[in-house]
Amino acid sequence: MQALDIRDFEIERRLDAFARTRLTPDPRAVARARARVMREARLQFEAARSAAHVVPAATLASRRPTARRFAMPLLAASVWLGIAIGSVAAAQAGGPLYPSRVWAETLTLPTNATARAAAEVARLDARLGDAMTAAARGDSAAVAAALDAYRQIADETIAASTGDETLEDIVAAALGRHRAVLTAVAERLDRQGHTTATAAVETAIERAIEHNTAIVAAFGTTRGGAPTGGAGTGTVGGDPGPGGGGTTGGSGAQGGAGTGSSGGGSGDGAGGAGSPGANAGNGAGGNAGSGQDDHKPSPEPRAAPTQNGSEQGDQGENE
Amino acid sequence: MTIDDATIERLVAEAQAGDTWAFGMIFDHFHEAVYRYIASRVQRPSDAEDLTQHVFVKALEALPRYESRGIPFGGWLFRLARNAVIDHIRTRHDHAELDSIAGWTHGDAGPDEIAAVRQELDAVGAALAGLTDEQREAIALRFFAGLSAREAAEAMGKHEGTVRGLQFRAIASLRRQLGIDDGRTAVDLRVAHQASAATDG
Repeated sequence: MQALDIRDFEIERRLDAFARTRLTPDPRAVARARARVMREARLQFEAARSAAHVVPAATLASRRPTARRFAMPLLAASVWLGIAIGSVAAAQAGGPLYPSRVWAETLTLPTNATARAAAEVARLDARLGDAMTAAARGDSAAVAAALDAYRQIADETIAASTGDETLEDIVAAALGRHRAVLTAVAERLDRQGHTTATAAVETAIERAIEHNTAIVAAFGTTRGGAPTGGAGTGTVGGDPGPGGGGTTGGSGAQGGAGTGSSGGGSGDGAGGAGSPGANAGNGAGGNAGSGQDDHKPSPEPRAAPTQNGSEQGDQGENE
Repeated sequence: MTIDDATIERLVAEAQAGDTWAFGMIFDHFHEAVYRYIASRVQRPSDAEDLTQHVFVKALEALPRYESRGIPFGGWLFRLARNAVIDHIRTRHDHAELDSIAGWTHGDAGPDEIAAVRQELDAVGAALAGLTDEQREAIALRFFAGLSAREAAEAMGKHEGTVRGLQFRAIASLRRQLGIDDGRTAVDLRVAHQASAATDG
């Protein structure tokens, strides 16, 4: 309280009396005011307590461990990645993601050579299936895309299997099988007449057949046609069967043996002798008919018989 | 009820933490002083009651933002009260003329207010009306609300010395108007003022 000189006590006394009598609140009014203010205080403190429970939940986010803080972005990224992978995996031939799908398949190829070759053959089968599906619906762009991928895979497969006869046989067998399918499709399209779409599809297929043939021919080259040529030569005196010529060009010792028997005989010998090696050799020899299947005679005209088996053998090599 | 400053600060801290009881104690300690100050500044007791309640509600809302920083809580609270009065006067376009306060009588004027006393109180009211606004405010804060010079200075937004000067001049004016002539000279009054400053500071 104020401190006053003792002589101002009279002023203080009068002011105090004035305050007590005229500036003192009514006790009932005080009670009412207190009740209202305290009710307000309770409400406000309750609200503050409620807010305090909510606010920490928000602020806790910043205190979460690093792992939990990154969990949501990681989850979002995983979902996004899953969607992207799903989209790529489901991409159809001719679609914008189809090349990505083909590329992504290479990531899962096994490292073991034999298993890898089998997987590559499976991929070739898949591409062929894509092409056939697209051809069935007349989608020339999709056919072209699928067969482009097919060629690319075939090149890679050949490159990986060259030098290993077992693998070469596996791949050559698959390519021969595919070529038959492609040929059948091309013929069917040919019979359907030449609309723009079928013509484009047919063109793509023919290109694939040619490529396929060239690959198998390359196999034949690497598989040593000279010894076979020698064997073929022995059969020249007989019926210049296409089998002799075909196998000659093909596949070395095995082909040579086959040729020997068939050359002397009926001319179907190539097919009959058809070991995988002989088959490859037939293809390389230009006898597409005898080469496309191990045990089927060629439906197509075969190479012109020659008097000189060695020449034919050389031809086979060269092709 | 007398509570020292440390206890008030502790109650304020507890109220800030959401303790309703602590705020009730603060209300009980300051309510009458706030009411007296406001009642001395506005015309009607009902206005004073409403404004006093309003001041405590405002204090409740502003309490989380209150920081002591050496400022007494009383000064902070009376600054709210002063602002409320100013807003009230500005809104109502009236002034709390103390000559009207001088005519106040609570309907239940007690037996204390016998005729002689009433006359004396009316004289005090009239003397207060003769002060300047700032002098009257200083008297209200220092004598009616019971604030220290420092708290009054905080409430008025003035320096402590300024408040003391206002108080000194107001008392001198009251003394003259009330006819309380103690025969002191100007020198005596200055000495009294310095003594007041020394003991109150």
